[in-house]
Amino acid sequence: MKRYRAILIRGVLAVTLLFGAIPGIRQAGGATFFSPPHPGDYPKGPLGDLVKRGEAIFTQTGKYAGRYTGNSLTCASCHLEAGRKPYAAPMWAAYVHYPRFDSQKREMIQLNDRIRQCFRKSLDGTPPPAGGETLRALNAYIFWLAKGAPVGLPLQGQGLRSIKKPAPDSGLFSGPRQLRAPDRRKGMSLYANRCASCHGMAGQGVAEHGGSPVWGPRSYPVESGFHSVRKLAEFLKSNMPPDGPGLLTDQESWDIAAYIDSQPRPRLSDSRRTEESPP
Amino acid sequence: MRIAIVGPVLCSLLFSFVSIPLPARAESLMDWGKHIAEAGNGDPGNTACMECHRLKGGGMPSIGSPRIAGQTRQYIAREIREVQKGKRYGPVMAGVVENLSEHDIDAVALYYSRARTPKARETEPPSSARVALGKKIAHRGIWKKNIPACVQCHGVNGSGVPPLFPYIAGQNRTYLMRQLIAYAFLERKDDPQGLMRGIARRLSAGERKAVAEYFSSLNPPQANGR
Amino acid sequence: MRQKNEAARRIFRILLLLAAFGPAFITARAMAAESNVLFSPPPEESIPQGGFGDLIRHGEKIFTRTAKYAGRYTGNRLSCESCHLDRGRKAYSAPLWGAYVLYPRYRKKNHKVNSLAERIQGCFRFSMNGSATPVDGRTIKSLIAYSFWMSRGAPVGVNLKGSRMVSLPKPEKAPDPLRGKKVYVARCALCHGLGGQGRVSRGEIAFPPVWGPGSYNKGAGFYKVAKLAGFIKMNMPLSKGTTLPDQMAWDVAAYIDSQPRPDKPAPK
Repeated sequence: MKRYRAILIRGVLAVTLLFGAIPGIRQAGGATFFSPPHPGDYPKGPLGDLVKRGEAIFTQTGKYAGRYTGNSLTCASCHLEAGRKPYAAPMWAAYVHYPRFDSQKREMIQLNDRIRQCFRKSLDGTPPPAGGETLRALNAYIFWLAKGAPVGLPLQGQGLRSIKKPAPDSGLFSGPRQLRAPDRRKGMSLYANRCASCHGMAGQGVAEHGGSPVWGPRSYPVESGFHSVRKLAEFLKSNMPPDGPGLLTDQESWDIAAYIDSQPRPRLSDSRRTEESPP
Repeated sequence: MRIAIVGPVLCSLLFSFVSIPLPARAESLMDWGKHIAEAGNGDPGNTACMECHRLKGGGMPSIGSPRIAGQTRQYIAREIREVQKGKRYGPVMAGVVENLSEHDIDAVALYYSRARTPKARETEPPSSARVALGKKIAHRGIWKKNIPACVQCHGVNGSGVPPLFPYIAGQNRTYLMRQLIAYAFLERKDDPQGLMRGIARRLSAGERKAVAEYFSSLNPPQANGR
Repeated sequence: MRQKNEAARRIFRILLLLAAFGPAFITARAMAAESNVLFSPPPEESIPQGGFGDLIRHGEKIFTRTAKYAGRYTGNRLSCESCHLDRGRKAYSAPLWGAYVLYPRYRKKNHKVNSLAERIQGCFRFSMNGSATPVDGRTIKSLIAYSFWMSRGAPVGVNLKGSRMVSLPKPEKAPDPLRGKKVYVARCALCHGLGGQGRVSRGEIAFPPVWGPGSYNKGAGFYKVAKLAGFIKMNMPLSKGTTLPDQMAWDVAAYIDSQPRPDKPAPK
């Protein structure tokens, strides 16, 4: 009988191998996501070198592109798993959705324009020069992550996953299933329980636990895309805490986001001033 | 010795007096061309071109005889020769051009290449749906079937690429249809490298009609000159 | 008991085999499917309305009538479409959908990883014998927008079937310009002219010049006999691609590239 069980286990293993090993597809929680090339499976030659360089910049931005950053964040602080994680604005989806058109400014935004914007608005720095090595490397890395993704088509896991929204006002029509307006104070205690061990009570981030600063002078500025309760709530719901995403309810995500977002953070003009004056 | 040279000269002189008096050569190629257009070259069985193509070369849409005014001299001459050789299908034309000499062909080609006349009226108004489809094929081609845009070889808006690619803009619909069919079913074989045969065969009947209708709806180049 | 055991083992072996070769089998099939069907770019009607659509349409105009819409950067009257047939859509004439997904890409030509914009600059400098368009200018942006739109659905980083020019295998006999001249006179001159000068219709190029001052310069990809031979083989005479025997394609390419043309511009 023992033998049978061993055989059965081996069989199950074989089947999982069969279905698990198909490249290009990643399965998680019933959803099927595009899967970027395996880490380390770089292209050959100079393109591969550039891709590696891009990966290093992406994950250790301060170290490899410190001239262009003004805070402690890296690209991977928001784009988790080195830009691979679905619903954490993965880079493979971004690559196929650029260029885009900014209909207000009436101009085309290319991926490199967007990356430069990240440096300025989220990394609180100065955009790396167009055509320079930093942008080339990041672009090559993102191109590689998107290998096999269809140009211009929507992909499951792109951007952030939307969550239930709070009722416009908690008046007559808000039924029991609808969310109430985000509550900063509830958010504060949730933060203290769930987030502070990595991100610090003062939002300063705890480097040894891998937590980035989420407010304060070393965090993203007011002008960043994350300075939006909705976006932050969506991000939290799908991605935080890292050891168990999905533990937070939609309501809790909103509350924490509202709390974090209410905390002080730099403005672009402020950071310029601090850059000029010695600390 | 002398007689050997004088003989043929005399003979040709004699002949030239027997046939219709030739106008003086240099300025007269045009006149001789016009003469053939108007009255034929005088040989038995030779009909005047104008019977079908009109004196000014506007053609006759009702019987599908093509507009030839303003086609290049080289092109007109080439087509006549191809009919003579039997490579260009033209049951009516075959008899008419049978007895044209090289000189005649040169003359009549020159004459019609310089002729100018407005577009002849089509017998029916074009269908807008067919014109739209024809326009698309004309300007984009159907590359899935390896059909390039018509204007690629027939010039901007079908106005021809001198010397040998004829204009097809403003050509009459019946003529264009007939040529496409003749190419498709291999009755017309004078196209270089079989290009038109291949293209016409790959066009569907509806597409051939649409293309013919589109180009016939345009104005021919130089319709209003002189 | 023993028999049952044997049967179970057999099943396990089959499963193991499947595990080992199944994925390979599946991907091989997927890849075969991918490589046997030509990518088909979206229909023109799908160009969106609005600002982005305008940019895409402008890109198409530049592509088909380059001298008119980007004349500042061209040194001859060739257009992008002279080489990239069917508005950049035709397989085996380096279609835009093939190129878009392969850039950034390392090129030996300039020993660096090139962006698509830089590759387009190369076209302007060498094939159009002109000057490099600025990478952030409207001309290149429009061309990129057009390429992006045309590549909708094409997999990034994958070398698609027909995505580039074909490199022909070396011919039996060394390519010979003299044999090539005969082919050229018989099969090419009607459109491209005995002097390689091409032909004009109403002031616009109908058939591109293939040598001489109005043609591509010595820095262009077509100045390589193998590349030109591949293009000729797959696309010439227009509408009759792949009918010319390989040897003829090589010979005629050798003839064309033996003729005079503008020099390669000095490196920037």
